[in-house]
Amino acid sequence: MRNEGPKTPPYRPSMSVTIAGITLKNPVMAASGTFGYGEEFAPMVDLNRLGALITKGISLKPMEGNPPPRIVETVGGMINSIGLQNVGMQAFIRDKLPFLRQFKTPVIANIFGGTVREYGELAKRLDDSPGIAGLEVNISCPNVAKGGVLFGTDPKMAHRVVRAVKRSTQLPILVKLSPNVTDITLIAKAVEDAGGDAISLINTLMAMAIDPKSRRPLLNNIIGGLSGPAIKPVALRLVWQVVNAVKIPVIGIGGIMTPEDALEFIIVGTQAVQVGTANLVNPTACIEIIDGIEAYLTRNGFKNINELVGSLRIS
Amino acid sequence: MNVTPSGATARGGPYLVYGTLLENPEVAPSYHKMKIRTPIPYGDIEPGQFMMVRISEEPFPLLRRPFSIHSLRDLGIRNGSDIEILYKVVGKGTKFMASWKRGKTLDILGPLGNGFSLSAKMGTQFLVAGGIGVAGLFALSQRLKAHGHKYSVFIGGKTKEHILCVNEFQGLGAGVYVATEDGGIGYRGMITDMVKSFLHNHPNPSGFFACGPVDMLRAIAEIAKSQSIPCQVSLESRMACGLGACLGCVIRTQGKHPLRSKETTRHGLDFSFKRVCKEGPVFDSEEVDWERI
Repeated sequence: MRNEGPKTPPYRPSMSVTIAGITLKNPVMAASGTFGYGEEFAPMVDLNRLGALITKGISLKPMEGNPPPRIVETVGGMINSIGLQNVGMQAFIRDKLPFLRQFKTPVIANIFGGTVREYGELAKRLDDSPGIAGLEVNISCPNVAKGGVLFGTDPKMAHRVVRAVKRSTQLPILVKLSPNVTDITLIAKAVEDAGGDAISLINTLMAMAIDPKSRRPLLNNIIGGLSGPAIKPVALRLVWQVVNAVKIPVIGIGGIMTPEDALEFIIVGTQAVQVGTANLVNPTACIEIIDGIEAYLTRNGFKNINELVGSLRIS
Repeated sequence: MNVTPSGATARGGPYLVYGTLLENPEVAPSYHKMKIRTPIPYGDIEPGQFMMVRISEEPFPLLRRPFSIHSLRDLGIRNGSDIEILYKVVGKGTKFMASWKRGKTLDILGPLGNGFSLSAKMGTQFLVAGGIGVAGLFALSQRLKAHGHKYSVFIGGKTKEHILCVNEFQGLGAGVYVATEDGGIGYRGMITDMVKSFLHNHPNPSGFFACGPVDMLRAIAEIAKSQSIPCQVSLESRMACGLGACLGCVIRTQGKHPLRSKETTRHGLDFSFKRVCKEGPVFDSEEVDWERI
C-alpha cells in the first residue's frame, strides 16, 4: 500500500515531469499575468526553483490596457479587467527576455492576438528568440473586445488559431482555455486536433461586482475575470472533464493556494499546475507549494510524481 | 522574526518578512496606530513608501492591504526597524486588523514603491494632509527634521475627531495649522482654502508634499501650479500584488510611460497609465491627469 511507505525513505521523490517535450524540474509553474516578467519577484523568490515561468501575455504591438479601476476583491477571490496591458513583442524580446535567460527555469511565453494572422506572426518571431521553451496560446482573455475569448469559445476558431501557431513555430504549444463555455470538451478536442501539445485550464471566470450604495460597477470595464480560491472547485470539474476527453497533457489552473490544492489537480490527472492569484497574495507561494508537494510524496511513499498523476480513486 | 516566510533572504528589498506587533491602540474613534518590530534595515526605507500587510492566512480577506509607512525608528543595522502604520477602520480588512493584539506575528512585504524625493538644499516645505492622509506625511516630517529642513504642516478633516497627529508634529517642532469643515477646531472650511489664504500673507513655500483624498490633492495641485511651486502627491489605489506585476493599481497620468513610443503613438495608443505601486505612490502633481485619474 502506498500510504504505508517507509517513514524516512532513503531517496528523494522525483518531482520532474515532461510536458509537450518540455522537461520541468517540478510540476509548478507561475501563471501568466501574476508573475510579471519574473524580475518583479526576483528579490524574494529564487526563480531557479520554479518548474516553469509563464510570462505576462504578449501581443504583437504594445497594449495600454483598460482604464482603472481594474481590480476588486470579492469573497475568496478577485475580479480583474487589466485588459492585457503589455510591452509588446519587440520590447519583450529586447528588455525582458535577457533577464529571464539567466535562470535554469523554462520560460513559456504567453501570446495573444487580435487575429489568427497575428497569433501566427507572434509565434514565428518568438520561435527565433533564444530562451523561450514554449508558447502558451491565450485564447481565453475575457477582458478585451476583439479576439481573446472569441477564439476560445468557438471550436472552429480555436482550431484555426492553434493551426496557425503550429505552422509558424517549432516550439511546443500550450493552449490556455476559457471556462466560459457550455462544453469545454469540444474546445479541448478542437485544440488537440489542430496539433496543440498541451492544454492549460482554466483562465478566469467572467464575473461582476457592484457597489449598492453608489449603484455603480466596481470595475471600469463593468465585467472582469474572477480568480482565486473561490474558483477552484469549478476549475477542478472542468479539468476532470478535459482529462477524460483528450490524450494530450493538461495543466491545471484555478485558485491553487496550497500544496493540497495543487495535489487535487494532479490526482485528477494534470501533469502540472499553474499558480496564479496566490503569487499576488504571497510572493513565495510557488516555492511553498513545490516543497509541500514533495513532502506529500515522501510522506506517502511515492518515488515519482508521475505515479500520482490521474490516481483518483473512484469505486 | 528575522526570517522570511520561505526562509529566503533578500538584499535591498522589498523584503518579505515576519514582524511582531508591539502595540495597536485606537488613537481616535475608528483610527488605530500599529507599531511593528521588523527586521527591515532602516536605511532601505524612504518616507512615502508603503508596506503590504497580510490580513489572513485564510482565503478571506484574500489580498494584502497597502499602508503608508507612518513613522520609522532605527534599531541598528543588525536589528532592523520599528515601523508604525496609522490606519482608519473602513472595511473588512482593517476591521480584522483593529482586533489584533500585542505579540501577534505579522506577514509583511515592503518597503514598496517610490517615496518622496528630497534634495540637500530645500527651502521651507508645506506638508498638507487630509484626514487619514497624515499617515503618509509623519515619516517625511521625521526625515525633514533630521536633515534640518524647515517645514509647516496643514491638517484638514471633517470634524475635530478626524484631525490626527497634531501633537506628534508639534513634538518635532513643526508649525501645525488645522482646518475642519464644521469649524469645530481651527480654520472653518477646507484645508486647501486655508492654505490658499495663508499664502496671501506669507511667503510661498519652495515645495508642497500632500496626501489625502483626490479632491484635496487636485486642489493643492492647482494652487501649486498657479504659484509654480513643485508639489509631490501620494496617491492611493486598489492594489493586489504591490510589486508591479499585476498592473491592477494603475492611474492615468500626463507623463510619458516607458511603453509610450513613436510606435504606440502611431497606433493611437495613449499609454498614460502608471502603477501606483511601482512608479508611485508618490507622483509629481504635474504628472497626474487630474481630470481623468
